[in-house]
Amino acid sequence: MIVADLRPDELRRRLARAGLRLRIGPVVAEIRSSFRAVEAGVALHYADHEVVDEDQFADFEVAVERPANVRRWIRPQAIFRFENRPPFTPLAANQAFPLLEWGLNWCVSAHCHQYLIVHAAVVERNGRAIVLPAPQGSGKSTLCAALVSRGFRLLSDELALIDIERNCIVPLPRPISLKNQSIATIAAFWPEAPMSAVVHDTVKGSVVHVRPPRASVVASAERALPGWIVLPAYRPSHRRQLTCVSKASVFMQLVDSAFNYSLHGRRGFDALGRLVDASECCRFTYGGDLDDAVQAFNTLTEAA
Amino acid sequence: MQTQSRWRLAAGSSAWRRFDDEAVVYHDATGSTHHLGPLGSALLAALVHHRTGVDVETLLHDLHDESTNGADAALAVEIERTLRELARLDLATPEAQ
Repeated sequence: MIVADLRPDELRRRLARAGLRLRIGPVVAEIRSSFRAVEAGVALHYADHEVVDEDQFADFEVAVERPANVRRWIRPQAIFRFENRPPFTPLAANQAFPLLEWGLNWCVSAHCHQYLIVHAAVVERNGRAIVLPAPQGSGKSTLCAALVSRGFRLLSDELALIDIERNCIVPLPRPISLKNQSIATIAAFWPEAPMSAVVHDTVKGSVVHVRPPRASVVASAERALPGWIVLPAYRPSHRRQLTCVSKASVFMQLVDSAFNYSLHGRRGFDALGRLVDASECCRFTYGGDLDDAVQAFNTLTEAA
Repeated sequence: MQTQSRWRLAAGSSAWRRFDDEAVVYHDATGSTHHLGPLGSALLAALVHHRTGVDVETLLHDLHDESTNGADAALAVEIERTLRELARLDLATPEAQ
């Protein structure tokens, strides 16, 4: 059964009471919330995700709740709880769904240490992964959304899960997070994008989420072999440029972008080394022309 | 230019991986990862090759090619500087004279 199979009242009941157990890539998350925004967000963005029976093990038990104090009513807030503990300070109640998404990112990056986890988007074409590690402002998610809209499979918008033993990338298909100017950019490029309403005034500015394509969710169990590591750099009004970069410098960028590299010690070093060895490494500078950017990735992957 | 200093790999284990003419090194004791440029990478390879230690003159000979012809003094200085940098990273150590 998938979320879309649940009647709205059943989805609400599960979220408000026992919790809705979702399989998201390799993990099962139990989500509880009485926020209508969370309910709507889950219904939209996780429509194609498998609902797991309540008696099955959940890796994370999370909740987005109203506080028990006055902030329940006055300038209302939302609290994220992980196994009944709040790891973050509360946010304004209108940010309840983004809070759930950010909380789930934290759950994975802080707990799934069976993987080497790198802050990167990952898409796939012909079984080969394109890893897009990048700092904020590099246009990583914009590029990821553009590629996904044109048929690249989404593995993750935010967290690259690297299987240390098998040298492959594990899918974690979840909503793509867009911020500020990239919202209008993707809305224009992908008018039918299944996008939530804009949430303003978050710590990241204005944010929306885009639902992962059904085909990407259905293929959640299909891991991808390393193909390319592309460092994106959004430079307004620049012409598109794809250039080779030294593998050693890309390796160091992955070290800097990894959440748990030091935890894995030499195994992490070896795993990243195998990933970089098996990947073509490039820097991709692009301006506002997303059609052109997608064409560059089509050419890159077709040449392989 | 002729220097008598000898160098060898530092004690303790490390893993390294070459990518073209550069390398990355993981140092077990510190958990640090370092990026070595072409000269650092070549010197580390030479230290691995000369397990019992090696002097700068031999390193200079190992690294010498046509492109360095006539620039031995400058290269020797650069080798010494890079070896000191490798020592700072606990990857190489000078031998007592």
